[in-house]
Amino acid sequence: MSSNTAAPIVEFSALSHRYKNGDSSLVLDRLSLKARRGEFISFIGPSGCGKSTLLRLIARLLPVTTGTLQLAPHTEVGFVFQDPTLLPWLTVEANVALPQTLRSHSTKQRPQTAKALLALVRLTEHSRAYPHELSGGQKMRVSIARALTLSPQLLLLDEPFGALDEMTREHLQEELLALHAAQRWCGLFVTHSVAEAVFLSDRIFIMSANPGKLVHEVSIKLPSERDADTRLSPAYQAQVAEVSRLLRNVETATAS
Amino acid sequence: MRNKLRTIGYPCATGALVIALWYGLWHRLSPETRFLLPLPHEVLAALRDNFALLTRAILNTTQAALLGFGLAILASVACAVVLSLSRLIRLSLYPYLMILQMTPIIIMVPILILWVGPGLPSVVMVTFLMCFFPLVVNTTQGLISADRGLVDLFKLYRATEAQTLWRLRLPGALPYFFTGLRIAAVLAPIGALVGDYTAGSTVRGAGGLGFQAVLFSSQGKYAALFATAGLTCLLGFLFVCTVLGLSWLCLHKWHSSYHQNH
Repeated sequence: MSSNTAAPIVEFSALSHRYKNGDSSLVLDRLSLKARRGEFISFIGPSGCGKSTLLRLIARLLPVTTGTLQLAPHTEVGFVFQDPTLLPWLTVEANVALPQTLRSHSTKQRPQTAKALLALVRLTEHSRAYPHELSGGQKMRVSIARALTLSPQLLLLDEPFGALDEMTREHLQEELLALHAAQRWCGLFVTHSVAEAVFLSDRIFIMSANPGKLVHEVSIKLPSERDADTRLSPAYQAQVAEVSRLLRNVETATAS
Repeated sequence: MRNKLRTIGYPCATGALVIALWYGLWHRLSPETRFLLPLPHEVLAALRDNFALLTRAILNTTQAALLGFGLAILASVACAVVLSLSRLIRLSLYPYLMILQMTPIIIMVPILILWVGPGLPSVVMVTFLMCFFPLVVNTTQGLISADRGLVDLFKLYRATEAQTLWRLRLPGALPYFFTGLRIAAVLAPIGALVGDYTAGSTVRGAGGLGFQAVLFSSQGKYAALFATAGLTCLLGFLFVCTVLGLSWLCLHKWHSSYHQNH
């Protein structure tokens, strides 16, 4: 889905991170990666392998202990957290406009952008609703719309569909792919679901735990346009089987 | 509709039952002890007879309660913002706030009279001291309880400390603030009454309900004393209702406490 010659949006080399607790344990150990505009990369691995920590490092929410981490100049980062993290006292529209509010964008521009994004995630009719009036899937759509408000070049998604039911999850995956195809941001996606990772990604990194390392890279050889039928294709199922096998090997190695 | 009728009907029925019991109990008392329990119509008559006196007293008490309550709100929010800035500040200041809270108000009164003089200033200070602690503790708790994900979100968009306070911590602390405010609303009229009782002044009609209660008691006007007690309850009720109304206005659209069936 992307050209390998384009300059990377995010690049890290020998990136490590230690928790600042008593034993100062190593969470991530010498991770290296280049991600380019338009790429969709997923990270999958056992619990505690540092997938979320990696995203938080890239978002500069955590300090890098050693190694280098570089974002392309003027890269705007969007983040979709595990929970929708909406401000309950703001309407859906005001929540979507929050990044612009915090960056003091003009008050005229805010509702226009918010409305356009709510239309993209099919929530126009809920623009004046409060978060408690929405379903789990709708809240996550608002969260995605908010992350896209500043037109990010890099979108970090930390297991955003983990708490949703299977049907909603599949719908949202398809919507996310449509948004990605239209806007061509670079997506870094953390998940526990192999099927989800294969459906969404161009590349999948399988991580081991204690400490977290990138142990396998799998290129997904599926057509760039994917829909519900893609899940039924033998190619898709073969890739799911391949990633599952690699993940199982990593988990067995970690456990032993 | 049926629920509304129940909401009004049940308390009215309870009130009627209490009044009936009151009359019944009065008839059971010996004639020499009946002065201990003036009848409702005697209390109403005392209220009418002392209307001017009691109106002035309730206005004075309300003024002191409002001033003390208002000052406590301003000071507690400012103090809570400072306390929420760092754990070190909280560790340094909390013990002294606890000491302030645990010092009996009755000991503070002579000191307050010494510092600010008797009458309204002392009464306001007593009210302030009673209201301040629940407000500052609850508001601080609210300010430091902001959801970690939301704090990260604000960090991600490089929000300033002022933006984080104004757009995240303060709105998020509102439910906690209103919990403190409800407690303070109960305490404010009590504080004004206790202050008036112990440090009030009657110079130029400055006495409040506390002073009036002492006066009626010493004069043996027990029906008027009951009327004073009734007015104090009414004042407390108005304070609490106002706070509940404010709380509803600020929270009903979004806070979970207003979206459950209770």
